[in-house]
Amino acid sequence: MTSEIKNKLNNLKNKEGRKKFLIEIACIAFGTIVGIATYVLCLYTNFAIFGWNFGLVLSPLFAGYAESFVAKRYLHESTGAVSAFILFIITVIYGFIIANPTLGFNVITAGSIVIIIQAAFPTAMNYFLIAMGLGIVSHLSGVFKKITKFFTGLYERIFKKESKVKKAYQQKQIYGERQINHRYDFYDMELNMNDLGVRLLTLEYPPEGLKIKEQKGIYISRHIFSSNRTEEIKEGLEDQLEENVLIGVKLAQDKAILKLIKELKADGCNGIMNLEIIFDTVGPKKGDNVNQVFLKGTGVVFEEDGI
Amino acid sequence: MLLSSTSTLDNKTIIKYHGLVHGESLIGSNIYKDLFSGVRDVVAGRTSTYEEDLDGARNEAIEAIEAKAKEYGANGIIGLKISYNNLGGTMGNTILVSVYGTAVTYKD
Repeated sequence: MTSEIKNKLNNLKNKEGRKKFLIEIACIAFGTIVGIATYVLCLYTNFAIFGWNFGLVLSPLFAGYAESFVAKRYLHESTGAVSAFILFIITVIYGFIIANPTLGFNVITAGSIVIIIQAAFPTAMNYFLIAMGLGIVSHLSGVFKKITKFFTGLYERIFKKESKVKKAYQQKQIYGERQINHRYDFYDMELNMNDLGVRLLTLEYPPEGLKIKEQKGIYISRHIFSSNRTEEIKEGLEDQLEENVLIGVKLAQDKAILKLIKELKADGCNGIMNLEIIFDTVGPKKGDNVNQVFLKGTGVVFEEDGI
Repeated sequence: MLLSSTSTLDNKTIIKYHGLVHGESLIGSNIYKDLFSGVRDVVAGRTSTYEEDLDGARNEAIEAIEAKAKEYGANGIIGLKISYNNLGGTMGNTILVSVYGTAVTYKD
């Protein structure tokens, strides 16, 4: 690689070498222009299926083809389809960042990325796809699992002890359960918020049978929480994800209600009207999310002899 | 169990306010479910299983608050509010369905 660069630089010293270099640049530029024109045409004619534009694949292909065509004609050798790579960068930046900055990650976008990379790096991607295909077949048929199980069993039989992998897996399971139980064992899940001396009402209008003596104004409360999902996925605890997130949500909500009740009681309120509970995502981290539960309502003083 | 989004019940007399009841349910926090949601939407069209999941989650949350209201001895929930919230998630698709209201006992 270094010697190739050195040769190229040495060639630039003579007239013939410089001429060849300029033709190579012209070929790459021609390929790039053809690619951009293809992409623009595909965007203009909306040549797309399910919102996915064919220009993402066609433009690098046409760019590479056009570049190779002129390179073979004038240089009698390939320039390495550099324009296909340039088009790959242009289409990805435009299609995925500028035009669709909020594009989510799903099977369609994942497939698009694979196809675009395939167009830019055909040989490397083919090897990768073959390896991936074998991996999927092995996973579905369980061949790889059977092979590793066979060797694990062989190891256990020969050395008369459990393999480190098996031991680590068992430890992980025990650790996972303990971690989940430990995380919430300080909190009384059966705590009844309606028994704490403040009437929590979602009603907009004054309730029948209850007389409001005084309105104390708006009261708000919030609690910010994160669900640490990345850690749980790493620990192999995907099955418990939903349950854990729900417990986290309940915990956050109860904490916010408790804060609200504390404030209301401090101001002499014995009720809250038009109570609203709002959940929101306040700032995503990588994998995890920081969420907030936000409560608002109007603090009131009810007459004690109400229903 | 009578569910109402209004603050009062016409032609009925509320005899007790039990307070706040809330229920939550979640869909889509599973990384594999999220990954295949795109395919499911394409294959099944607009009325996809994803929509069924959303309806199922809402019903689950409503069942949860009905159960809590019954624990208080209530026979109705008024001022009912339902909200769908995106909690983000590994693939950006964790939907929390939150249902809450005021549990009451009423008589006709």
